[in-house]
Amino acid sequence: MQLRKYVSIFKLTWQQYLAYRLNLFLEVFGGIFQTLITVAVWTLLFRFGSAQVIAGFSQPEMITYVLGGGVISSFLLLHRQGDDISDDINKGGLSAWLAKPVSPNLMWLAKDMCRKYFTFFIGLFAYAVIFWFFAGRLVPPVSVFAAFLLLFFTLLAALIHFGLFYIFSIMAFWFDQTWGPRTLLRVIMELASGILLPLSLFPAGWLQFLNLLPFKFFAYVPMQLYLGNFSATEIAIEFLTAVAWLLIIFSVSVVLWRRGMKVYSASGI
Amino acid sequence: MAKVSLMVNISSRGTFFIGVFAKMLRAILVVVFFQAIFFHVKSFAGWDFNEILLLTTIYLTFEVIVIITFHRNLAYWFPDLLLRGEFDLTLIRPISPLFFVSFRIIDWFDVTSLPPVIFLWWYVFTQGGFVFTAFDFTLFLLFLFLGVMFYFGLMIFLAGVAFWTVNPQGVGRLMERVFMAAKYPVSAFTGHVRTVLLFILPVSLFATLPAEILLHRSDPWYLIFAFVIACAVFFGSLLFWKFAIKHYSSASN
Repeated sequence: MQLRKYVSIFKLTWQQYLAYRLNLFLEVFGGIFQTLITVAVWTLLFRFGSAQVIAGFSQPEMITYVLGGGVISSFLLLHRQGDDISDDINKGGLSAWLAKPVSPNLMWLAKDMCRKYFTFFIGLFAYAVIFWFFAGRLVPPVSVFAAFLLLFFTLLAALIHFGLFYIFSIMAFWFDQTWGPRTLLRVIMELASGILLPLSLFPAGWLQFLNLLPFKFFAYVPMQLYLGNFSATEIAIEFLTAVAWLLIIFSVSVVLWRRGMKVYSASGI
Repeated sequence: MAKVSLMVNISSRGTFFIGVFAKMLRAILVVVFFQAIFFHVKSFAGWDFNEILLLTTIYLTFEVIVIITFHRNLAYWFPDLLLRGEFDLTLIRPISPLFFVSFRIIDWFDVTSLPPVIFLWWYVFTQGGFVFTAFDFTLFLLFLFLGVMFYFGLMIFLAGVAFWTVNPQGVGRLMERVFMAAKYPVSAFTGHVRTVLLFILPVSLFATLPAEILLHRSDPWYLIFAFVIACAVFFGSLLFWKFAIKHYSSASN
């Protein structure tokens, strides 16, 4: 019964995105263009350097990594993340939601997931054509289990991604604007997610540092799992790390939300 | 206009300074990105690390110029102005509507990306091992200007489309992603990618060509092409803008 409300919000948001589908399509298409350029860069580096393996990646593995990362990117890494939450708090839209029998937090989660799935489906169709074009030059998943792990960890990543932007967005309880912290998050995410290049290309010190951050779950970890580059122990560690991050994010979110509600002045109504 | 923009930007100091840090970090991370690649390869398709650093410096310089001035104005804020029906007021002001909508909001926030760019220029000049003559530099500035003019023309075209479409913000996002290709030495690519990036969507004009001028690698024929295409796109976009304004039937009541 409770869930139906959020399914309805999901459906309504889907309808909204359908109305402005060209915008999202162009945004996803931009990401695809960037991915294709990255593929061209790696093809060039492998050909020009005549190296068979770069940082443990063969050319087909690297192309698979970049294209797979691109699909995940169309699911996760879009602009204007957290704008809704920040605007609702700053402009008083939250008050209307508080008066309704829904949780604003679950409502924002439903909207965010809707956007992620919407862009994912747009991306999936476009990438299907690209995968067809690159057929024969791509590496299939090492096992069915690896493919399952890719999907499972991508879903965990989606929750971590929402949680991080949620934390930075509800700072709107205390600040007039929150684009600064969210920009910082996006900037770090672009490199630290491993979407542009695998994190294993970084020197050991950098790799150790980047491994401490949650951003690796946004591309690097799912794609490494797909390629079968993690042992069973490493998979277990990555899973526990992801769960730990989710728990940390959830705890911080709860504390910030409760404190935020105490200072919320419903301004902007 | 610039003063008002600065005041708006620093009205929320906390977020402004974090944003400033993010912008500076972004410039640094572009260098880190290439450094990570150079840990595993000796050259980037014939470009050594210092040459890539020069390219990155030019790319970031170009980005700062367009982002501070017209990019967001035309890609995001102008369509919004149209949608809210406020563009009509611009038409009765004693100022060119195109100039007004292109430079209405000077984004001081992005001026703060300058320190790493200045540092990179200092590094390139003093540690890069390059020798630039006054002629090289003049030609470089001329083609950097032509690159900006070309991009401005593209943005005017896209802004003009907003008169017929609703909320075309996705175009701005698309352009930003396409622009990112300019951080690579695009003339090094081969096949279709090379054709696209040099002639169809000539992002080479933004950074690769100016860098090649300083590195004495530019092809004279491509310089002529760049000059012609930049002028054609810019002046063509002005004509398109006039055409779009003529067919604008007002959005407010």
